[in-house]
Amino acid sequence: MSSTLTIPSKQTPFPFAALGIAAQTQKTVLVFDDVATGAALTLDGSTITGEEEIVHALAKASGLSGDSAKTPSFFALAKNLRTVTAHSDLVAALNSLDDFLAFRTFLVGHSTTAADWIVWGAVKGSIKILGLLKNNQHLHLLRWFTHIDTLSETQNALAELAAAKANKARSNKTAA
Amino acid sequence: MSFQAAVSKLSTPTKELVVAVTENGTRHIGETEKDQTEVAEWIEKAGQADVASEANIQSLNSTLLPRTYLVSNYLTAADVAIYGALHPHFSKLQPPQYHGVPSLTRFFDHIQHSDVVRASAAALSPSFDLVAFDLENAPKLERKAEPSK
Repeated sequence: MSSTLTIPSKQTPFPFAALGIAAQTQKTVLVFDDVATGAALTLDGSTITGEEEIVHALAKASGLSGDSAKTPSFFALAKNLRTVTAHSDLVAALNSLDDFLAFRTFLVGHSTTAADWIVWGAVKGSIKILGLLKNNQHLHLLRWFTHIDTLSETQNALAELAAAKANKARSNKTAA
Repeated sequence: MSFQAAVSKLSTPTKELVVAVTENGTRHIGETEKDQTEVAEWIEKAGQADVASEANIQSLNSTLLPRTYLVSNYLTAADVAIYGALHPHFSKLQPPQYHGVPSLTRFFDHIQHSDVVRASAAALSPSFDLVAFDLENAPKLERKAEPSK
């Protein structure tokens, strides 16, 4: 597998799930390109766009798909987390994730899979959810989130992102 | 206490499991000096007679609430030693008992399914055979009512 993931460092919402799973595969070159219009993955000669599609493609290419029967429900849940607006609906979704993760280390099976990355990305990209997690009402969900967030591959990718943003800021200053 | 000294105090067959998983103390023993010290401390605890006492079970459950692994954020011999030492206890538990310690049950189930443990457990069967947990029927967690604003 040879692949390159190009992401504009300031894309909003930022495609954290694509960044995270790309980092975990350790075979994907990360390129932060602020001229690009959106995240794009080139994999074995083809180009894939759309965060869900990128996560699926990288999972498939590196054997991180997990149990395909349960995975779609977590992609739906991640979408729900990104779009839900009512506070009570959001809390209900977090409660059910917390219940599920009380007894399980990961969302599907016994290792990180596409399901973990898509949901981690949705949480990572939401200031509202991150704020709710700080209320200590969802300790199991917080444990899972912290685990994925502090994997060394994740931390390296986030550091690369921060460096890319800083470079951009610096070059802006020079130009001005 | 050093890693080797702590391992030597483990009882059979947990000792054999830790030796096999760490390939005689050459891997999964901690990536930094600090981690290695913590790993040795956990192995020492795993070798104590009261490792599966009710107080220890509750304490481990609390320790593991915010953690996936005992030391840092990756699998070490500490996890394997505690898992091994608790195996005789966990293999006898009824659902209401293990449902009462969700974080420890989650940890036990995670470690028992890790590739390195499974690879070494086969030769020690039936000591570390998989323990089946009924998670589908686990009770919902009790939640405090949201503070009214």
